[in-house]
Amino acid sequence: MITIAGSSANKEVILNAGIQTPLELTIVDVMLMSPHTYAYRSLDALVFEIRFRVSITSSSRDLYYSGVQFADFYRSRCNPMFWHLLPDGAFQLKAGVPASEAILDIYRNGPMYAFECATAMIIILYHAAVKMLPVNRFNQLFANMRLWGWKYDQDLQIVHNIPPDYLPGDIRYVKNPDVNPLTPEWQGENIVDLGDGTFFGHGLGFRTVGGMIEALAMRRRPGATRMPYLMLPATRPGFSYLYQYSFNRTMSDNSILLFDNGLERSSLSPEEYEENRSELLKNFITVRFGNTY
Amino acid sequence: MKHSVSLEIIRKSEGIKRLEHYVKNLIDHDKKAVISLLNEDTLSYPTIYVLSSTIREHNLSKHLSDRNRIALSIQKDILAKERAPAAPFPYSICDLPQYIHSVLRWMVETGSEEKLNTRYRLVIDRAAGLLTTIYQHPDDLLLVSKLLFNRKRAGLSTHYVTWAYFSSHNIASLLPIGEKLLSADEEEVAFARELLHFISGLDESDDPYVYFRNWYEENLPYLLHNENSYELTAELAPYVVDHDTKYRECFSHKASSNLREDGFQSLSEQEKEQLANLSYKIRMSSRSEWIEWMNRPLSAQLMLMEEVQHDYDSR
Repeated sequence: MITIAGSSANKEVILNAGIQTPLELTIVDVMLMSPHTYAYRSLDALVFEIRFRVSITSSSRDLYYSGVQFADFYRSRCNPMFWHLLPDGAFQLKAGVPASEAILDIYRNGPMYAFECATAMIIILYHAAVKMLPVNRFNQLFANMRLWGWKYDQDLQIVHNIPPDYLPGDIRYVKNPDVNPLTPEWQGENIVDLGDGTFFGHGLGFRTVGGMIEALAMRRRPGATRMPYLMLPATRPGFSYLYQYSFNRTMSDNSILLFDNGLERSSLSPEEYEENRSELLKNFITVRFGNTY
Repeated sequence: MKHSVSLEIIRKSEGIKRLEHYVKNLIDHDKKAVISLLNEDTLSYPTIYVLSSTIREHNLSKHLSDRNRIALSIQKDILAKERAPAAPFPYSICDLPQYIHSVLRWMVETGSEEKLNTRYRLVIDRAAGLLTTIYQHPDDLLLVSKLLFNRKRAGLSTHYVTWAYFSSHNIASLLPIGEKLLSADEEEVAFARELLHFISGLDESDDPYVYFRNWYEENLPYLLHNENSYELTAELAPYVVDHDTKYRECFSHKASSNLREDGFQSLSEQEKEQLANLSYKIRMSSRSEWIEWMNRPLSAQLMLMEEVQHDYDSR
């Protein structure tokens, strides 16, 4: 089921919020039918997650058609106008370059880039975030961007766990435990759930899970006894964390940040804060930035 | 022309360009001398690597020692652009597969300090992967751990070597890393801590080495290999403690034990870990007391756990 600000939400209300495409509807249906409670602070927050998920699937398709290539970390490459290629194969955003432009360049000049599957997943998430967040916010949040597997993802607040339901836009992992040691880049494949029974994996393209398993099985060592398999955890960005940056207003120097018991963050103006101060102090751990009264 | 100078000394003191020039020049005058120098026992793999194109151009392979020929075959196989899926390594690459293990060892042993270039490092890293995944000899772990720390010290990627190292699925692979906690080099200690980050409490410990040794000895029977990898997560945890087994071991002679086990499974990961550690300590202290304790309800066990934790915290 889905709750909005603590109350159960019905399908009609959600659809009226602008949910239209079949993929968006699929996500809503899975959430509504689930025994798990998907809790959102507002309808906007729910719509944000649904659209972000759809955006992840379209960014996956766009990456495939951009012409980027698969490469292990020894052979990674990038456009030197936007990125420094570091000795470990990571791409470091060049000083003064807006992060949004650097991410978009990967899609515009795909053949200039080559990277591993985990880096591809981070790029897809950033590309989806470019579409979902105001550009100035995106560039502020990811000003010091470094692309290298899952290692430098703090600003995306990546969540990695076994979820109650699998949803389109989830990133899954097919493990290849008996990979050929001469090609360890095929030790597993990160795949994006496209919501139509197929998945995207960088280097393997669009396939069903069975197709991914078959492709990885071809890359096992001689004498291998174990087949590749789909792991249970799913990976996704912190949708509720990123949602707060989706508004196109700049956070003033004296904005108040509020953290609830679950460390969910929200912000409000000092005026709003003063108006409801006693109530807010009861329910939130409060952090104030900038000028203090 | 003077031939007595070792190729090894030329490479190390005068550089690889001078080495190539020297060998090409010597081939024109005294091919036998070149072959003799190439087949010296003391030659290291980096020298063979640097001279591999010269050896190929002048068709010297057939005159090389078995060790050098096998090393060049391995190198060629690793650097092959297209790899037929599941090529039957090691039998497909040379006539003497029984020597491949020792040659791989030689390549990694003599080659781990050198950086040369990306292609060279790829050969060494893959050779290390072959040692740990195909041959799995315990003695090779120290060799590969040295390579891992050399890569880190040089500021180069440790990604595939880390994968290769933990792909040995040998729990003893943690020991050479633990030993680095005693290193005088702060960066080595920091890297060892990073690799061992999955050991609960290590970061807060005043003496990480002693903590590691105690943790290792206590948890050795309960460690399980974890299928996670850097492709899946930013924080690699190659092994996890099986808290369930550590908690109950073979204890199952009471009808209520199934209920207790179900209760244990519903605890948080932190509670599971604390209860498993307490169970282990009581078991080590007195088996009869442990059996008596295990027969208590889970709630009573948790209460004792909290008391012990409270005493520990208030020290």
